[in-house]
Amino acid sequence: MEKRKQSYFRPDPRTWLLLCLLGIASILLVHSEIGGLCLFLGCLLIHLLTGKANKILPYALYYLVFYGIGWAGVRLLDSNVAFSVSSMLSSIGIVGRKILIPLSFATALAGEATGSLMAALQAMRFPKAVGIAVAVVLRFFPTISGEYRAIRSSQRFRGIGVGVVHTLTHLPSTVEYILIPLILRTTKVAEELSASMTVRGVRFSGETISYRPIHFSWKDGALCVFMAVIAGAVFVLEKGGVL
Amino acid sequence: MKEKVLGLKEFVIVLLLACVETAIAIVVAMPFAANLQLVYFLVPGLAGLINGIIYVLLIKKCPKIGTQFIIPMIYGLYFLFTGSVYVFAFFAILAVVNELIMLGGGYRSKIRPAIPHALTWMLNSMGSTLTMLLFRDSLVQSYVAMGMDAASADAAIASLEGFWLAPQNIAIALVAAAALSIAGYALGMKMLGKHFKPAGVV
Repeated sequence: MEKRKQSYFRPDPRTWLLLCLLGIASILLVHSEIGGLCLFLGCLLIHLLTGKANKILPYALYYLVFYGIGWAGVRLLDSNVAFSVSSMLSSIGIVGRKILIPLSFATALAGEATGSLMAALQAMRFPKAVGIAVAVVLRFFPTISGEYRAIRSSQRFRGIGVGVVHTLTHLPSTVEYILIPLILRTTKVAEELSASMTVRGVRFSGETISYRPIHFSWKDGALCVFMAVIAGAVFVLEKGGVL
Repeated sequence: MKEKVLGLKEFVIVLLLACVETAIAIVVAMPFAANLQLVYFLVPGLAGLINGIIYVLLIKKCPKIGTQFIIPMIYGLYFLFTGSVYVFAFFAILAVVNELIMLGGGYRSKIRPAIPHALTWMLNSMGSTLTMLLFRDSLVQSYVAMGMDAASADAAIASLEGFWLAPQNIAIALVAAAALSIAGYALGMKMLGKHFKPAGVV
């Protein structure tokens, strides 16, 4: 079979994990608006280099939306209008933009195959339980949102939680009728997942190998160094009073 | 011999239900996100009230070492992603404390399991306070960058601090979170008999 040549570089799962950790560290260290923007642009460039150009526009839009929320909050705060609302809006705007950086890398990590992810984590000498936890948690959120939508549509069909007024007037029963099936489905999903893991031998000791070969290349290292350099440079410039 | 530590199946169940708890806490906060008082005094307790149902199911289905550790750790990871590394550290400490509380037959008691649940949501109510405390510089710089003068930005942050760090407000937030999460535990016990036991989940 002819091997198709990959037109873009596909990072190792460890690269996304390291970038995610670097993202968290950088948002903790960098405090200025310009510095935050530099980090965000660096993050977008990494996504561009790794063939995830389609993600750039949504992330940029999220950034602008959070900037708008933050800006509106600060304007209201400056005008002494509705202090409790304005302060919360400004906080949402500021923290929302910060989260985008590690979250974008975590989303990329979630897109990796489970086997590759577990093999990569084991190569980093993490206990097997950590690999299982990361793989399960990253896969679970899209699954549970699908389950939630299915439960909501079936409950609406039965006249539960139809419209805002109906939901608010019957809030306890609406919560009960949505939450209980959601918990039961989650329990079922967990049982199916653990059964699937058991038959694949995940619980046994031994090295986990991946169907897709994992390899931390110089390009992976370069991406991590790039992010670290941006964060370091912005931090130094901030401390020096340039930013 | 009966295992004392979580097995693979229980580990996955606790992990996923802890994720649901975290998701519910985030969703519950959304309608109130634009109001400072509600976020401080009501949201953590409300999350504790609803999550009480999940918590009771968890401790009845997986009454083993590890359950109490995973719940605050997963919630703490959410704070880590929002940049609040210190809040994550507090939740990590709470995870160990909760495990210690349940040692020596804690799962057989009817009252003792309510304590870790209440502590988790009480710490959650303090999460925003700590974030405010730790991100002070960042907030001032952002306000200035968005067009506020430095003095006004500092005054605005001082007002915020006056609210988040006022002893009476901290007391109200802690009491509300504790009362509602204990009510959530009681609600969970009721739901256990009403839904989960008849469904054969426990």
